[in-house]
Amino acid sequence: MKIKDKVLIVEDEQSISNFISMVLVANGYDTIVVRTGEEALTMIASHCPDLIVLDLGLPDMDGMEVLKSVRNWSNLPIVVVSARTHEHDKVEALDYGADDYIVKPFGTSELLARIRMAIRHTRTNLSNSQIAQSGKFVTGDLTIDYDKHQVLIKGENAKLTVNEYKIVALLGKYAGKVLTYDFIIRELWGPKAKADNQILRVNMANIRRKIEENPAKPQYIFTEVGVGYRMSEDT
Amino acid sequence: MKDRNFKWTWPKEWLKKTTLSKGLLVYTSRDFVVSAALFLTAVVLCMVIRHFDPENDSSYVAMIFLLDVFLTALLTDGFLFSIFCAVLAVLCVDYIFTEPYWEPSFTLAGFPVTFVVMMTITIVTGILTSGAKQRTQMLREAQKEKTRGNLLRAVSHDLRTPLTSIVGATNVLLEDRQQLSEEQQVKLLTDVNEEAQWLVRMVENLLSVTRIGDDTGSIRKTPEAAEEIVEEAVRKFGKRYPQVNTEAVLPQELLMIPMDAMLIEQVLMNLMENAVLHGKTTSRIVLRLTQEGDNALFSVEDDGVGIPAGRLSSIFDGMLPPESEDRPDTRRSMGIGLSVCKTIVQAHGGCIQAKNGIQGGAVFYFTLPLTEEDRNENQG
Repeated sequence: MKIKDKVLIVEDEQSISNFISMVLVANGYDTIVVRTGEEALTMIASHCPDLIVLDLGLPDMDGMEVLKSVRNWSNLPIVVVSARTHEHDKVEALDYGADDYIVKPFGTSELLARIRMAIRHTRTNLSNSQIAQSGKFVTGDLTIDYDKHQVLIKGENAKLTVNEYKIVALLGKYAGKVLTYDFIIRELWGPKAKADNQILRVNMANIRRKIEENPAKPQYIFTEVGVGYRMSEDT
Repeated sequence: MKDRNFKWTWPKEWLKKTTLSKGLLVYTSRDFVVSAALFLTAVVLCMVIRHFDPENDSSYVAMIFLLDVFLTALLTDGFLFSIFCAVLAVLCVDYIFTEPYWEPSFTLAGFPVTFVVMMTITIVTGILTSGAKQRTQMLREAQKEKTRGNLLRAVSHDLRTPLTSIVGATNVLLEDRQQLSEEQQVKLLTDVNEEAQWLVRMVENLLSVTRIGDDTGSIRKTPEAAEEIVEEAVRKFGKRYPQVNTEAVLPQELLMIPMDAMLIEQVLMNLMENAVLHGKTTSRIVLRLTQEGDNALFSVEDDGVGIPAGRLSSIFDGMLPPESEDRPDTRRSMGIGLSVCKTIVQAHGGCIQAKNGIQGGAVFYFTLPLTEEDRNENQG
């Protein structure tokens, strides 16, 4: 018998958990559906799922509480599903350790893509292992050379400044994942740095002009408006 | 009088209403300053006149203070300051401006009369003006109700068509599935999916509008890199309409614009979507960002059929175009998306316009001020 990845779906709306479960089963996952935060915590401890799809609006507690409590003891991938459109909630979920977020209403292909990516990330950590083996991260024509501290476009040095290099290097390390403004600022300038993302925007604008052919249609670094940046991980 | 200057705007905290006992007496710092200034003006005026008046005829004093009391009652909210002012005026007339000067003379026969007259004026004026203020308030409420009613009507109209189609298609699928070919089933499901997607976008638009403050039309602006907004809008649009070729043209330098990023992204999405749905033959959209003096100018150009001349003037009003009266069920004729665009851009202090391009196709463009300014006062 083939062993499948087990996905725990925490969602109180039955019509939504129904279709998520159906799609996942059809695509080769095992699913467990629970409707409350309380049940979710019990099931996570007893079943150890490979991934959690977590709705933030639960009847008995805020989904954010479930997220925090799981992160106390486990790194298992969590994809947050939220009906809230305010960027603030996405940022909060990501800062509390969610691997990804998806906003209702969403299409099934988007959901599947996010789940696949989150599982793959925790299992193989693609970009990290690539970096560990070769000291390089490659996506498209972009190469980040971590040993020489250089970013190359089609083999040519993009001539980034130190800070610009640090930002690109950080995004490369977590390729595919959205890094929030605060996270990037903390990693670059330390925990006491002012949470002012203006400098980051300016740096990013410069980076884009150096590495992207058309900054309006970037191939490598994407903006998630109000949340942060994400490095493409297509190789 | 400086207080009547129309350009004058009061600091916000001065307009905060403080309530004394049981909500009867409400006052603001603005009212205090207004009444104090009026009163001082009256006193100074009387003194100046007395200085130039050798005959010591004091009849003008009462008149001037009457005017003062009347103006105070007119220009301030509630009764507190006007009553204060009336009492002070009576005392003042008695103490300073009638002989013996600078001494109280309560025995004067006119004193009770002056007092009663001033009190009456105060109270009557107060009642009249607050009545008038209430009436304007009610008118404004009624206007708001009307706008809300119009929006609700437009929305319900827009919702009914796709819902009918979804309910119908799913009913057929549930009840008569056996008689349908695979192909027909897929067709019905595709329709349901498309209609639902359309509803989703509709709701996104409505949600956007709720992000704009109800009363003040104000929004929370933070400086954002305009190119990032353009980039995300183009990327999301590309996912929805992969068949349309979108191009973005950005200025060389970075433009930081104070805005609510989600809302401006919504505007760009709506304009691009509009270009596809109404341009009919649109195959290419160019999104351009330039700087024009103190404004950033966004424009969305398409190569579709353009805008009918008769519609240009009312295209942002969300009303049915006149020619579609005979086919009121074509839901996409209702420009909810465009009227949302207008609301959002205006809340940012910019303006939005539409025209037909020189080489055909439609051009929608809007401006956003590059510098933050507080426009709420002027919008009132």
